Amino acid sequence: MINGQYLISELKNRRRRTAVNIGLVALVTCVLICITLLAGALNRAFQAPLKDIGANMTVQLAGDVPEQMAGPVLPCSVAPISAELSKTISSLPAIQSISQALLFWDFSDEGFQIVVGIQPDDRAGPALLRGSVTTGRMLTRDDSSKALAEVVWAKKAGLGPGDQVKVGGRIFTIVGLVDTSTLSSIGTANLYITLSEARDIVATAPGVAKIHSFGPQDSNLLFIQADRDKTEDVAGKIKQILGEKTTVSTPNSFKQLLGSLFTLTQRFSGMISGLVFLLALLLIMRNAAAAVRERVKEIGTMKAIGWTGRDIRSQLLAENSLYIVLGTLLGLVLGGLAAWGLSFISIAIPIPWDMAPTPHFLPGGEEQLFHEVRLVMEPGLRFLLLVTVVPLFLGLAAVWSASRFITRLQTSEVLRYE
Amino acid sequence: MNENNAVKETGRKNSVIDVRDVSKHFGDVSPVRGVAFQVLKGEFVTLLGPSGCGKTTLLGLMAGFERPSDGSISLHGEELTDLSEDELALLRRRMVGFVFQAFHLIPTLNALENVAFPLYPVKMSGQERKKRAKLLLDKMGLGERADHLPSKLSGGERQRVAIARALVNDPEILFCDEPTGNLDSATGKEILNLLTDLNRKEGVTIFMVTHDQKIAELSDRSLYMTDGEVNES
Ligand SMILES: Nc1ncnc2c1ncn2[C@@H]1O[C@H](COP(=O)(O)OP(=O)(O)OP(=O)(O)O)[C@@H](O)[C@H]1O
Ligand SMILES: [Mg+2]
Repeated sequence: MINGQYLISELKNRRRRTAVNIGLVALVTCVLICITLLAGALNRAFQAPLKDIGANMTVQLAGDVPEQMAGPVLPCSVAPISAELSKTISSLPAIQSISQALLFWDFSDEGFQIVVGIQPDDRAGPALLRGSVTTGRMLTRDDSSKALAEVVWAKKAGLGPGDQVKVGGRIFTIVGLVDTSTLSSIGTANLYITLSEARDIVATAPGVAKIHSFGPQDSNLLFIQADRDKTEDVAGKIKQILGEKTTVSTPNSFKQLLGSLFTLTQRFSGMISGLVFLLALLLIMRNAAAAVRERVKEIGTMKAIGWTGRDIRSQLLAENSLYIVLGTLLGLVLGGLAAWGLSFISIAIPIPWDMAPTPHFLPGGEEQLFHEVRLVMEPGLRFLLLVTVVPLFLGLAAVWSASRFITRLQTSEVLRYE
Repeated sequence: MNENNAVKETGRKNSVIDVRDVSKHFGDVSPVRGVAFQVLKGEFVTLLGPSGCGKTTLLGLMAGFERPSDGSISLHGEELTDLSEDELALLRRRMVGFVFQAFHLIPTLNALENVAFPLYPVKMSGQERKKRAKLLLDKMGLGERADHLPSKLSGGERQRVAIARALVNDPEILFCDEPTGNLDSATGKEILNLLTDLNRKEGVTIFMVTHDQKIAELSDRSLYMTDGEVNES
């Protein structure tokens, strides 16, 4: 039977011990929360460039460099993917949706523009721009000779809804302006037109025909939403279908592309959090055991005046669970505050050139594109269980075994002087 | 059973404490060697002897804090050697009170709570526990000090709290290890009066270790211990 009076007296009258015990558990919980949430947030940050376009994979094929920068041409990082192969890919298991787009560069006497043909109804890919239209309207599937212009580019060119632009020599009317800064840089362009019109333009462009055979239903960018845990698997299969020159971007390939630095920190943070966790648990256990050992004399007295080992153990367990529970609660609050602070940090993820190709010879073409991502702290249930239940369980196990050891000692200790 | 044994058995029936050929060895050291004696119900027995002769060790064996290396001890007919640690604790709860030379109060509990402490694991309302503790504290003349922590009490007051604690479970046997050893003579006398009163008026059997010849003279009987061996006076 647990005595509440004694429990509270111990907590109240041993302020130092109470503070140390609660503080230690709180600190451990707080550190655990920060590290684990941070690692998770970094992990998610790598998915952000893809997530923002409603996909978790993009597929493109490398090809030859255009012979001459004149008229519509395909950048070397986005060679045609035939309609047939797209279809094969879309029938792979674990693929939820697939969206095709066609990106090309359009050179003319007036200058240069990046154009992407999109399917305005799609659930993934640049069609998601519909949420970022600032003036005018989004493209629709039935539009013909209509275009959506990127807002910064349009302003520079002095263009707005109703104005006309030339793409591949044809006249298009701008129906709306769109802000692409909310999206990642993958598949961003100066102008968006419908996929079918883009196909027409590319299929008849002499600059394309010289290098590629482009079928009327082909595209050169695939945005795929696949089952989260199967992306690597699917990526492998797509590479088998499309061949060596395929680039499949997944959160994982992002991490690899972004160099060893990120993978290193990733692995490092995993290792550190594991280490901290272990250390923390050892500390909690050591401390809990010490809290019991420090009371050998008192425990001897308890036995001498008729407390059984069980009475003593349940009292000690109750006392230490209270420490751990209070500590965990405090740690949750502190950890929550710290995580809130950390969520103001944002990291810049470099976007590989192939995924947002701009001609190198143009001003700004050499500049590295970055995708800014705020770190999002997302505690899951499993995580909460980890930081609350495990310390409690191990702390109590330590108390139990320590008190078991001590209550088995002979009571005679108590007879001797201190 | 032969006649001789039968006589021995009846003698044992009246004895509350029966120590039979008890020895205790700690490696080479043997502080208790072949000790045998009995204490009758309601007796006040003192154990005298020089420092280090094994008195505390013997007392510990009798209260079941420690197990003898040889021989056996029974309290009220219960063989201590047959009992587990927990059963020993329960036996003490039922019939034994112990007053330590060094008080051993729980530092975080006030006087009243310390007195009630042995009853904490007993199924009993908090109210009832408090009532019994308060009664004993009053009896020890410490009613005013009920809410003081041990650190705020004098040595004599602490020992009186410890005696009240030893009595809270209505023990039949009270073991005392130099209960006045840490106190000045006036306070020691007060404590002793309390204990003799308990013995006379309430029939509590008292077995007390002491250095003090004067205390021995107050008791019904004295035992002398030298080099681990006990002799009747
Ligand atoms: N656990 C133990 N291990 C080894 N030796 C012990 C142990 N307990 C007691 N002794 C030894 O047994 C002897 C008797 O000790 P004990 O405490 O019983 O003496 P005492 O008669 O109570 O002395 P005092 O009057 O000073 O209290 C001492 O020499 C002591 O060192
Ligand atoms: Mg002694």
